[in-house]
Amino acid sequence: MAGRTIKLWLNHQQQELLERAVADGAAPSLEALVKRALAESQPLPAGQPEVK
Amino acid sequence: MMSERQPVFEWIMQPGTGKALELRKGQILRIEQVLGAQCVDFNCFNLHDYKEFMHCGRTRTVHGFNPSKGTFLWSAPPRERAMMYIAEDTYGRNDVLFPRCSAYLYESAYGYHTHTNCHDIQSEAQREYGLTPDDVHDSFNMFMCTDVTLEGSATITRQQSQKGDYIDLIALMDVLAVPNVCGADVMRTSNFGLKPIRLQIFEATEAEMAAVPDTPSLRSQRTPKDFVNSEIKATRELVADTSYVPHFVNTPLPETPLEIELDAAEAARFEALARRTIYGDDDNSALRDIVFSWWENRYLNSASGAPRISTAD
Repeated sequence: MAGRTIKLWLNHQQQELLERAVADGAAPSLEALVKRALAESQPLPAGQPEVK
Repeated sequence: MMSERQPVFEWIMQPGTGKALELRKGQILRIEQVLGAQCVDFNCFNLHDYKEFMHCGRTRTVHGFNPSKGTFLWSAPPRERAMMYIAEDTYGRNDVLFPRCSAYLYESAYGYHTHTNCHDIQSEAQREYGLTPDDVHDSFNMFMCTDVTLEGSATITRQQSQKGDYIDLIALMDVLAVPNVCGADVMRTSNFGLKPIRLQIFEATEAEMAAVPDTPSLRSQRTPKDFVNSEIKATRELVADTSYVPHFVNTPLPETPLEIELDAAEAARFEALARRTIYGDDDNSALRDIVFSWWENRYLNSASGAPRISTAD
C-alpha cells in the first residue's frame, strides 16, 4: 500500500485535549501523537461489531 | 459497633407512609428491615437549597445499576456533588433503574382509582417542608432487586432481605432525606406485601467519616452563585425573555485541519483500524475515532465520563 495524506479535522476542544497529551510528553507533536495512536491501537478481533 | 450506639432519632415507617428527615453533615441514617423483604424508595435534597437533589442518572453512571456499600448518592448537574455515602449495606441489592411507582401505574395497569404509590408518598412526606408533587425526583430504590436482560429490558424480581438487614447512609452535607415504604403491595418488588421499616439517626464517629473516600472537588461543580440565572422561577407559564442572548460555552466550534502524512506501513495500519462500517470512506472521521479511542484507553480511568473516585477498599 502506498503512503498517503489524511486531513484530520479537529475543533479547538479536541485539539486542546491532544495538545495536553503532547505537553504531557506523549509525543513531540500532534502529528506524532496521531501516529503513536495508530501504532498502539489494536484492530478489532474478527467478528466483533465495529460499533462497540 | 453501631448497634451499641444510641440513636438520636428513631421512627417506624408504617406501610403507605414516608418521613422527611433533617440530617446534618456527619450524621448517619440507618434504614432497617423490621420484618424483611420491603423495598424502600429514597430521595434527598440539599437542606439549604432544594434545587440540589439526588440524581439517579448520575449515581447510575458512576456506580452502575446496583449501587451498594462503598458508593455515593450524587446530586444532579451542574452540582454533581456526593451528597451521601453508603457506609453499610447488609443485603446489597438496590436499584437506580426504575422510577418511583405512581398513581398512574396502579390505575392503568391494575384499575385502582387510588392506591399507595411511591410518588404520592414521597410527595406527602416532603410537603412538610413546603415542596410540591412536582418536586419529587426519581428514587434510589433500596432492597429492590432488578435485572437487565440481554435485550435491554429492565425487570423486577422478588427479594430476600431479612429482618435486621440495613443500609447506613452518611450525610456528606446537610440534607433533607425522604425515605418511604414502597407502596407496591401487588407486585413482586416487596414480595407482594407491605411491611414497616425502622429509621434511626446516629452521629458518625471520626473514624466513620475518615473512611469515606475522597471525591473530586472541581470547578465544574457549580452552584447558584455561578449561574447566569440563579433566580428560582416563581410562575408556571413559560415566556421567552426578549432580552435573551445565548451564551453556549466554547462556541462556535469550527474545525481546522491537521495534515497527517502516512507512509505505506502507517497507511496500511490505518486501513486495518478504520471502522468502515460506521464511517464508510470518511477517512477523517475514522482517524479521529482511532486517535480519541487511543486517548480514552491511555488517559480515561473512569467509565462513561464518571468522576474519578478513590475507593476505600
